[in-house]
Amino acid sequence: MNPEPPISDEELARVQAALLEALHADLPPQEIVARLQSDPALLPYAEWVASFEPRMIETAAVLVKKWARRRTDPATSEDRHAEGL
Amino acid sequence: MAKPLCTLSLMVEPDFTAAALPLLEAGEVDAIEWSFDIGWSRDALPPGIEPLLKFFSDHRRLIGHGVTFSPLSGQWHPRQADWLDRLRDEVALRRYNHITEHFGFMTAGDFHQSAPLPVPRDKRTITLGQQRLKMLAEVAGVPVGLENLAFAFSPRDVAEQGQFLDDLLAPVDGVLLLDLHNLYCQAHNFNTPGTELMASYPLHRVRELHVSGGSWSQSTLEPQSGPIRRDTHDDAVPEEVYELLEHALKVCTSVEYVTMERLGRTFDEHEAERSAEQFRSDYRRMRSIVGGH
Repeated sequence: MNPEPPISDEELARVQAALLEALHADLPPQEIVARLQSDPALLPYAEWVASFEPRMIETAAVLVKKWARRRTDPATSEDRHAEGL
Repeated sequence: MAKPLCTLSLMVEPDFTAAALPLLEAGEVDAIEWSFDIGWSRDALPPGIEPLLKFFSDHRRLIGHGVTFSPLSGQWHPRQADWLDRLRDEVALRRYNHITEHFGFMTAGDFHQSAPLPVPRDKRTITLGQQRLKMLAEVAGVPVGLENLAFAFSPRDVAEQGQFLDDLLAPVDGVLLLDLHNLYCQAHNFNTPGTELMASYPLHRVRELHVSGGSWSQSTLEPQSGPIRRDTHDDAVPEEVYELLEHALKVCTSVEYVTMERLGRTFDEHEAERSAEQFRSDYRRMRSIVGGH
């Protein structure tokens, strides 16, 4: 019997990508909050995003800026560790 | 129930190994937790790490803890297929008693790595996560599970994580790795009693507990809300986490491992011995609490 092919949820993937892009953006915290509240890519989970507390969006932006790596970024000695693990 | 094994999450950085060596030499470390995918990113492990892993593997005292699988990423990426292939090699090389990963997602779009973030609970995300866990279980060939997340965007994330974890773990009869510092972060940041939050998790699935320290940050947007607790694994274990450990050992009846976590490169360079002694003191206090139950 063939195993099930792996599931992808493209809509969720777009939401997650838009979330990381916004949190990684070089913007002041209040502008990141505004971007999350108006980004059409996040509409499929608008209710969830609307529940976010601004202070936690600000914290998430700090985490993502510290730990996120783009595919084109050079490897660093801190790769593979992250906060919250 | 046998007493849980006091376990060290092994890091490869010299400051960590120097701090941990006296514990290992004194026979105070019953088991090792190894984040095998951290090892994959290196050309070679530092001297002494391979023999240590072999010793604990040979004695059936090794548990695995993945970091980069990102089970709840919406997109299935070839990187995840590669990760499972490498895990297949890993479990052929070393004998793990169980293997855990992290709740949430840390890769999406252009980002191949990030901090783990929550995912909303609905039928679609549950189905996605259940399939990823099934794939993990099939490759691992040992019990698999997930660790609760420290970060939450909102009270909604906090309230639904316990049920979400049970939804994901049930089809594979998976294990919950209950990280007590992560629980403390959510309890503090959302003003919820830690024991009440703990009760919202599927405690019958808890096979491992994590103990660690962290740090504080301050919001500029909402400074009146007070400091925000973060799971940085870079300082002493707070008193509140020891209290949660005492409570967890009473209410989680299937715990087999209690694991101390500390990141490498976080020991104070200027007070190296004091910093290392604090770490060992925390480990020994954890061991004493476990021994008392």
